[in-house]
Amino acid sequence: MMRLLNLLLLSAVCAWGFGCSSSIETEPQSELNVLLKKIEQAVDPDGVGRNIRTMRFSATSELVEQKIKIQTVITYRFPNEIKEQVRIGEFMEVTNIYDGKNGTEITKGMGVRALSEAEMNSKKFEVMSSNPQLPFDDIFDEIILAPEKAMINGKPCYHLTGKPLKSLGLSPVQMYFDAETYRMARQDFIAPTAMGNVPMSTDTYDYRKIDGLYVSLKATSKFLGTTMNTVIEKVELNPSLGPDEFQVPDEDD
Amino acid sequence: MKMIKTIFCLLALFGSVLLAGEISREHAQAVLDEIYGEIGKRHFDVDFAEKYRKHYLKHQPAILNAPNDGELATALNRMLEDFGDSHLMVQPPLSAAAQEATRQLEVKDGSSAIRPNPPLTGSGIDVLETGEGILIWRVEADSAAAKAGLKSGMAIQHILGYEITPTEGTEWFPIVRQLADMTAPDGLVYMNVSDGAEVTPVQFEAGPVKKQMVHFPGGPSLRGGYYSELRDDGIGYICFDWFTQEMIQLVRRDIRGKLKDAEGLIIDLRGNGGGLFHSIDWLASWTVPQKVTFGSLKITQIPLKLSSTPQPRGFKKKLAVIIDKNTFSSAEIFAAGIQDAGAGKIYGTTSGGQCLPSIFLTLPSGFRLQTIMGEETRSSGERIEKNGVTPDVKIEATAAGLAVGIDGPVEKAAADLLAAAEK
Repeated sequence: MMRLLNLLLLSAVCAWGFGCSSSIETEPQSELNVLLKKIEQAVDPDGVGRNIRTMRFSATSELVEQKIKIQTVITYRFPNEIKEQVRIGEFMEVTNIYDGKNGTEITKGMGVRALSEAEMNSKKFEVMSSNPQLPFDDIFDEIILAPEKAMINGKPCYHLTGKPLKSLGLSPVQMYFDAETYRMARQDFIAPTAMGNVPMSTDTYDYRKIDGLYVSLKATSKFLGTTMNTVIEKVELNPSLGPDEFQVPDEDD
Repeated sequence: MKMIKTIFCLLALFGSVLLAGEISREHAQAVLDEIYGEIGKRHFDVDFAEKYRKHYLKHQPAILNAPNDGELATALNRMLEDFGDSHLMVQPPLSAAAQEATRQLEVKDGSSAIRPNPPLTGSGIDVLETGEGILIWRVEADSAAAKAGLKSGMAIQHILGYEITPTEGTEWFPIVRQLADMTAPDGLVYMNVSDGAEVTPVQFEAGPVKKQMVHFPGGPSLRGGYYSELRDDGIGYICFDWFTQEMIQLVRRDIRGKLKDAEGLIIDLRGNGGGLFHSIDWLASWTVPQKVTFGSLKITQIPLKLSSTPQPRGFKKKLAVIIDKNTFSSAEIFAAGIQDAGAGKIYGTTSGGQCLPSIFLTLPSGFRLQTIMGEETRSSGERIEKNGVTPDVKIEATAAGLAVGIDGPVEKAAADLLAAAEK
C-alpha cells in the first residue's frame, strides 16, 4: 500500500494546475471561452504567469484515518521538467524525476525504477497543467462545458471535462470551478501509477495571492478509500535551480 | 492475523491501552457501528453489510454488555474472528499516558507508533514451530540464552508461566516468540526446555539482542530480526521476520556486499509475519534477475498489479524460498509470486493462508482498527487467503537435526542450488 501511496501522493499534490492562459479554439464570445478567460483572470489577474520559468511547492499532508504525515516538495522548470520528492514519515523517501524525455523513480535505500510511458505522460501532463504560461488548448484537445452547474461542497460550480492531448493517452479530467470566484474547487482524474490506473478526486480551497498568482493552499484528496489533507506551506516562483536539479543519479546510494 | 492479535494482546499487558473505566451500552453500540461501518467501506465483498450482518447480530448482545473498553475490544475481536477473514483486529483506545507518549514521538515520523529506545534486550533466541512443537531455532552468539546453555533444537515446554502444550485454537508460536523477548516482573526469563531426553528448567537475566524495532506506518512497532550469512558451501542465506523498508535495505546491502558472489540464494521466510506491501517488489527487485508480477490486487474494487524492477546490481543466480505455517501475508505473496513466475523453488510446509491487504486506522472513538482494504489473488486466479502457498518441496526441520546444526529445509535448498549452479 505504501508503494501505491507514494505514487498517488504525487498525483494528488500535483493536482493544482490549470492556472493557465486561455486561447482555446472556440467561438470568440462562446460561454466556454468567456468562462475560460474568467478562470484565467481568477488565477492570474496581473498576468505574472508569463514570467514564471521555475516553481517550487512545499507541502505537508496527512492521511486522515491513518494519522500518517507526509512531506512533499515539487519543483518545476518549465516547459518540461519536474522533480517530486515525497517523504512518508521516516518510512520512505521517494523522488520522481522527469526531464521531458526520461522519467525515474528513486526510492531511498531501496532502488531505482524507470517510469512507464503512461507515468511519464502523466508527468508531462502535470508539468503542462502547472505551467502558468501555457494556454488551455496546449493541454487539452477539447474542453466541454456541462449544461448544468454542479454542487461542490455546497457551492454551484461550472463543470468542465478536459480531454488531454491525444498523444498523452490520458483519461479525461473532470474540473469544477466555483461559479462565484472562478477558481478550481474540485478535480477528478485517473492517475496512472506503476500498479495501474487509480481514480482520484481532489478538492482545492483556501486560495491566496502569492507574488501575483492565486494559489490554492489547502486540498483534500480521496483515493482507494483513503482521505488525505494537504497544506501548501511554501510557494516559490522563479526559484534559482542548479544545473543538476533534474539529473537522474545512476544508482541510489 | 492471530499472530498480530497476540502481539497486540501482549502489548496491552504493558498498560499502553485504556482498559479500565465503565462504559455505557450506547458507547458500545456506537463503537460497534463505527467498526462495522469502517470495515464495510473497504471490504472486498461489496455485499459485506448484508452478508456479515448475522455475525453482527450474534455478537451484539455480548458487545453491548462489555463493562469497559478493553472488554469491548475483546468482544469485537470475537465478532471479527467469526467473519473468517484475516487482517481484522480491534485495539482499545490508548491510555492518556500512552497518548501523551505517542504525541511526543509523533514529531519525528508522524506515525502513532510507540518506539522503545534501543538497545533492545531479550533472551536472544529465535523459535520455529514444527510437528515436534515450538523449537529453539537459533541462539544468538553471546546472548543471555547462549550463556544460559540454550541450544538449537531444544523444545520449549514452559515459558514465563505459560505451559506450551498443543491446544486446539491456541497458536503458540507467536506467543512464545513474544515471550522470548520478555521477562517476569523480577527481571528474569524462565523456561523449561527439553532436549528430547530430559526437561531442564532454566532462568536467566535478559541481555542485549541484535533485533531492532521495525515500524508499520500508522500501525505498530514490533521487534524484528534479520540474519544473513555466506555459507561455507558458497550459498547465500537471508532470514528476516517482517517485510519492512529496514529489512529490505539490509537485503540490498548484503546482495551488493557479502552475498554478491554467492552461488545461489536462500530467502528463509519461516515465521515471517508479512508487513508492508511495497517491500515485496523491492525484495524481488534485488534477488531475482527477471521481472516478477505478484498476482492481482483489488483495492476498493480497483484492479492493481505489483511488479518488481530488476536492479542492475541485483542477485543474478538461482533463488530458493523457505516457508512454513507461520509465514503470512506479504511473505506469502512474495513466495507465491516467485513460484508462479518460475523464479525460484519453494521449500518447507504450506504457509498460513492469511493474506489480505490491510490498513491501520485510528477511529474517532479512539479505537484502533486493522481492516481489510481489498483482496489479493495469484496469477493463476487462486487466492492465498485461506489456502496458503504450497511448497514445491515439502520438508520440515527436526529437533534432532537442529541440535547438530542441520536445518533440513535449508540444507535441501542449498544442495539443490549448488546442483543447479554446477549444471
